[in-house]
Amino acid sequence: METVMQLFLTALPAGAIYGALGVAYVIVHRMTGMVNFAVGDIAVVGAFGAVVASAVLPPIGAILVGAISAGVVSVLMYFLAIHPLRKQGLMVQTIVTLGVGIAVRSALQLVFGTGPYQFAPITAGPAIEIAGGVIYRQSIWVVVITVAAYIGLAYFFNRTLTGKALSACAVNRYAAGIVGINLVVMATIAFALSGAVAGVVLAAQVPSSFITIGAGFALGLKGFIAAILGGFHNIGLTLVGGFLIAIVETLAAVSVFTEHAPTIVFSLLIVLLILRPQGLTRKLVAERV
Amino acid sequence: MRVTWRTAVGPSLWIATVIAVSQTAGPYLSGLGASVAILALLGLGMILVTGYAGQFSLAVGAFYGIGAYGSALLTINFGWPGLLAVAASAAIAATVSQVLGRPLFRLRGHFLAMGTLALTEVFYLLVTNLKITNGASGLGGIAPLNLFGIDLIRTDQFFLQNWLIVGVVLWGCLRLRAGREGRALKAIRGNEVAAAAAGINIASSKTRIFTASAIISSIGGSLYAHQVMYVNPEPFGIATAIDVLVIAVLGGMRSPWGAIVGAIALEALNKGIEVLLPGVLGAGAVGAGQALILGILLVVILIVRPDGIGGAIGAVANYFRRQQRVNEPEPAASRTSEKEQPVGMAALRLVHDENRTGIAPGQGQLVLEAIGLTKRFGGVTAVDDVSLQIFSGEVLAIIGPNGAGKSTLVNLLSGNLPPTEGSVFIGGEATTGKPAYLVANHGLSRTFQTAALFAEMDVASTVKVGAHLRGSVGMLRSALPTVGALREERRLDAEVWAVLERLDLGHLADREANTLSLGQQKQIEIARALVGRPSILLLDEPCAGLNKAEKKNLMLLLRQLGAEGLAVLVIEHDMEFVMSSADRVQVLNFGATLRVGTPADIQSDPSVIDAYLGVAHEECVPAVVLGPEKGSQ
Repeated sequence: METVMQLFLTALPAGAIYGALGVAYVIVHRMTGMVNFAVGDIAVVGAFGAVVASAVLPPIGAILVGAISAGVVSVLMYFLAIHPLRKQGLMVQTIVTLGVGIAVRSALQLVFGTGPYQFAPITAGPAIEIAGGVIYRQSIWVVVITVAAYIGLAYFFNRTLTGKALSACAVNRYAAGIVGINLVVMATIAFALSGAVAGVVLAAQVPSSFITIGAGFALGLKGFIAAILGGFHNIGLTLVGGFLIAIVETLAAVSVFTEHAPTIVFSLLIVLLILRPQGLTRKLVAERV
Repeated sequence: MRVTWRTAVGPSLWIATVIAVSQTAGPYLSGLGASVAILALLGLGMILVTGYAGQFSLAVGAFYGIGAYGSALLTINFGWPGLLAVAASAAIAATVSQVLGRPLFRLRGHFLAMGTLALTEVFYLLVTNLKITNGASGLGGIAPLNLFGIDLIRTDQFFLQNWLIVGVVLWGCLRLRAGREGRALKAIRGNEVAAAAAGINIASSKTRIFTASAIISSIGGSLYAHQVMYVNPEPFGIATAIDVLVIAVLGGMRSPWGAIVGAIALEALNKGIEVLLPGVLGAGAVGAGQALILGILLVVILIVRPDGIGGAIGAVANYFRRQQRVNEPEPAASRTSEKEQPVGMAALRLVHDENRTGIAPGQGQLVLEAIGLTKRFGGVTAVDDVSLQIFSGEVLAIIGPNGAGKSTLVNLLSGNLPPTEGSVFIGGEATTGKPAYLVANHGLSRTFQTAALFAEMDVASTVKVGAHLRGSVGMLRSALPTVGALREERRLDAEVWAVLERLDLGHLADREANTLSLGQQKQIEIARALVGRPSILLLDEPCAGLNKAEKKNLMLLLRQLGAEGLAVLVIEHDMEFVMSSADRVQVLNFGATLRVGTPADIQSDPSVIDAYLGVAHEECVPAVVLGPEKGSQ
């Protein structure tokens, strides 16, 4: 029972991060139909934004700065790299996000090097014991922030006019344009939200372990698996997907395959794409269009 | 392609240059050149998948690694001869690409990108963590390749060997582009729906080019292993896949030459950075600095020049070619102006039908039969229990108000949509629910309501895609043109030309199809459908964008096609055209059949007049009386 609880408590914050990155993919994909390969690196921008801000701000303020910096970089990427290519096909737009990801990662590396960075947690104190398992106080914050982001996004997409306009773009961009929805404004909002969600959750995670420049790549792949599980459409199921990946990863790490844990997780991506591209949803997004 | 002495000039020049450089360059330069050749080889593999077929794949790292580790493990552990190890590794890469390609190519493009990215990462993690590959320390002591008893160990030998292989692959890629398979891939890249309608098996074509690319990458990896004689995981990760992507983007995806240009340019760039950057940012910044420049380069090139250096060179060459052409006389204009006759369509038809030879309408055999076709989209029933029959030698028109389900019906017949209920038979064989490319195999050709042409393709090639099923040359025979393949291309060219002449499109043959007027585009679509020599032709609103004279010609064409024994189904709103071209008319309303009969029957049917025609056809004057516009008072 204790090990099960510990497994759950270990997987919960990790799953929140994978889920949040998955949500970042989904928001952009719903609006533009493209996959943003730079999601992992933009999340890392958020984490480093928080690291820098933590020198002058309390942790909660630093995390907020992290969210904003990731959102800003995401929007900059849209205007500098993707908007100029709007007349090209999706393939070209996808390739360009890969280029942006590399540029962002190496620019950060030139400034910060490859070492680990950390800052103080929001609430100090020892780890908390729940039903035989332990969890860091900061990890609880990671989960809380993720859930808050989910509630905010759900409210935004289902209850506000802007959110509904964004969903309309997802269904039919052309028709959305005709009824007077400004596609550039919508894309800006989508990229800002996408960057901010990824940035805030990864920034919140930094105090409970640490962050390095190279973290973005693996996080991006795991977030992508979460997005597949969410059918590249459903934000709630994407978070559930993130948690499932974390469970698989934690199980693999404590089993006999310790050194193969990442291999198993990434193989899952290929297996899912082949066997169940619709993830936890019922219908394939590729057919839904 | 005609085989003349000119055909041999290019390859001979290539071979001579490679030999000359390998003999004159020193060991350092030839070693560098040999490694650039391997990158060019990988670039060629990427251009096949991403440039030719338009599918974004990052699997090159994994396939490159399969070649290298395959060669290493098979020669070290099992003592296999080098060449056998190269072939076995390539076979493994081919198998992996087949297993992975089929399911992944069902999905949209970027899922393939992520799936292949994961494949490369999984491969990298496996060779890093497995005992058999000796983890991060790698495997040493790989034997050099032995060719005719000579061990290849010197850098000038590597240079010679690698660039000759690049030459062979480059030549194959160039030939493939001009052949049947290359055309099919370009069509897929341009418009998948139209490509499938021409009988191209899209998933199979994509998987085969993916496999070709895997084999090329694997051979590149084997060359690396046998020349460096040591492999470790580092060169086979994502970084290499991205390097290769940059090579392809930098050089240009549209031509295989892009891989050669890109590989040389990237190497020059990297060497430049290694010299300049330490002075600016310190020696430790070289790795990150190179990556930064690589990333920015990728973005900037895609924005400034998406077709890369190769595309820029091509544009300059085209400019000069056009300058030359200005002095040549304009090509003869269309014949339509001379042929224009000041008679109505109905009269024209009478004249035509009086002179009709061949089978008479109503005597043909049943070609296509649909029974109880129903299509529901969620709660909407677009087509509701429609049955129809089309016989050879007749023109059947489907008419009905907008939203009556006409285009959906055509999509059900052609396999572009699976029916919810009901069945379709072509020539007595059931085609219900079969995908479009298989239905095309049953002799069905079609056009689309909005012209579906292929991006960046000239008219002759566009039409030639329609002849896909008239040929049989596969990927290998397209790449290494055999006598049979060349003969087939010539036969297809003749068939295409005959159809172009018949539709009076010959003067447009080398124009880019997508830049022409809507009317011309619709006629090109008809040409593309006809060149496949179908037994049944489906035309979805062929008159859109056609002028009066062109409509008359089209009407005559349909009558002629009928007389030749073809079964023609046409959807059209132009009633004069419908009534004069059709032998029978079927009226749809709210997804169901309202009436079937001869044009005369339909025009006098009260229910049809109510639902669609509005007034009896004879009273239908062109000048429509308009009421006062709303809000204009």
